[in-house]
Amino acid sequence: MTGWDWLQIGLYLLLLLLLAWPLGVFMARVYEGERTFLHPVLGPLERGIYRLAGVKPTDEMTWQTYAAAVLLFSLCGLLAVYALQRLQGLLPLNPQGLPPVAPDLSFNTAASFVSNTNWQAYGGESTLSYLTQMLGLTVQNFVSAATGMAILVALIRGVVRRSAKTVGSFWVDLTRSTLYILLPLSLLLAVALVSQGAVQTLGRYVTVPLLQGTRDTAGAAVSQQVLAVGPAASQIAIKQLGTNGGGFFGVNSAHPFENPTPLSNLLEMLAILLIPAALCHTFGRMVRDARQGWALLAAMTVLFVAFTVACAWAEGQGNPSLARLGVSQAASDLQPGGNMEGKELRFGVANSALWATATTAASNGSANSMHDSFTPLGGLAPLWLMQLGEVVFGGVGSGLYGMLAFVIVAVFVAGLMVGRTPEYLGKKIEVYEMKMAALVVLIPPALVLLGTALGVTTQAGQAAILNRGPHGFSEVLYAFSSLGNNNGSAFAGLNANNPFYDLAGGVVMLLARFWLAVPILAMAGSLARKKRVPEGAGTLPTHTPLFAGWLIAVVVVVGALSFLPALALGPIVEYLLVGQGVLF
Amino acid sequence: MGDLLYLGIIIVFFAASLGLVWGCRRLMEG
Repeated sequence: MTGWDWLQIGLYLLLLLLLAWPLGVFMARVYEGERTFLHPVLGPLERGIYRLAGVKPTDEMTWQTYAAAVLLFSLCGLLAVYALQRLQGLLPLNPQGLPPVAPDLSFNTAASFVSNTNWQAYGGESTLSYLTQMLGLTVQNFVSAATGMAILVALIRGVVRRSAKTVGSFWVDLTRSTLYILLPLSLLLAVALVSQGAVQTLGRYVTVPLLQGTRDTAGAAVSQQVLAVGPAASQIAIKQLGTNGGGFFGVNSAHPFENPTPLSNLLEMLAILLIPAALCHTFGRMVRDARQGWALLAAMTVLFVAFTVACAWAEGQGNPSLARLGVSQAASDLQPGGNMEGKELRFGVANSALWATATTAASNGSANSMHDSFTPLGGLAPLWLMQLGEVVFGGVGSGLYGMLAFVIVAVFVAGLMVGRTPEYLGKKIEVYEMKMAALVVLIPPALVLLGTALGVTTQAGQAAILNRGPHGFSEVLYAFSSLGNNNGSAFAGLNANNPFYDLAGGVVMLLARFWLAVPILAMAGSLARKKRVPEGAGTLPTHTPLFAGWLIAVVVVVGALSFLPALALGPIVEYLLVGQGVLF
Repeated sequence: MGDLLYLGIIIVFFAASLGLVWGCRRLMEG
């Protein structure tokens, strides 16, 4: 890691924080129904959608109706993506004539995209038709992200409103998130990516002559290669902005047609964290206290910087086994230096480590390097970031509502310590809110640890593991950490396309998404019904650096208590053994 | 057969999720 590498990471953070403020303010205006510069163009379209769908935008929902709408809308999406995959052989826009997808893989992929996880047990270019990619996956990239944002907005309304029975309209929040935020940003990013060389076409795959002929395994001369193309840029834009992460091609953003240049790499990394960071400002504006948003953003940023520095430092140290052989891993004119196994030469260690932590801090899951090839400590950083519950920025909407559940826990514990009734933004935090927050905080670790236990103890789970020892364990732990927190990134080294992982993974992804959304909406309903308590001398201020530090401590302690034993069996013991020359 | 199995799982999951909504409401009402 050179000074330039650290400078790039610093520049990225600076750009992210600068862009987050105006976007956050804009999103608050959208959700509060205020007029924005996009309304002259999109306003008539919004009203047309309501008329077409028979929705009255002024009709608000109780939290139960809101939750039922979320579930039924997602059920329809799940069935549609499943059917598209099973019927793609009979449907248009399939120039390669790809056959129907198997039922278990169809279920896994449908659950993955509806839950905003985008775990990919398939290779996009060899499995899915253009129609399935566009009408199934890309549409879900938009609406699953918009669903997460809508749930967050319902929770914010719950905090803000007094003695209210309703938390907004899901249909209105869903439409506004998609129309005013996700679509315009995706259009801008897709055009920028195309300008850098990302592909966007409905044409057939292209056959090109090889620059240098070769021979196949049978010894026959090979002079041509088939290059997979397709409508990639439009999917990549929303996969990053919506913290979806599912690549058009199997190797995701390491593919030169998905991520051609250093500029496209920077834009895609910014897109991963932009909306989750901006939503903190949206929260601050909607609760009429910008400092509350800043406190949440500060807590997230401190955690993110700590993990990024740790990951970049570990990767910059290189591989100790190569060092023992006398191989130079120092940065020079000929190499970026550090552990370059599984990384693109054009991105180097800094941009690979930064992407790895950004994609796992957010529940994005896209990748521009192979996380399985990271050093044990370098791989521990993205793994633990997911295990913290995807609240360090997190998914669009879901990251902040997850962090707000931790805030409830933090004010409750602080209240117990000083002997006062806990409050947050004028609302008393009582037993019911704590029960809902406990569900949100504890369901993901339970899913991850039970799933990992199944993966390493059953014959079906063991058959999928391709590495032995602690590295093999890390692969299973990483997979369930990704599935159980709706991240979607893969460590690799695991044969994830089999009935066990397709079924177990699909169920875990659905539980992690919707069994957290329901308690969050219940908490929104409960908070909305309460009266506002005037601030007094005993009120815990939640906008101060002290509270941000307390929140960080609660997130880290819960993450450590839940996962340190499992991490000790995987990356930590591997780190100790690799230092002694033992490889896996 | 495979399709029926997975469609069954999907329906059961969403029915259980609606049950969770009902359970949370009951808990709220005490």
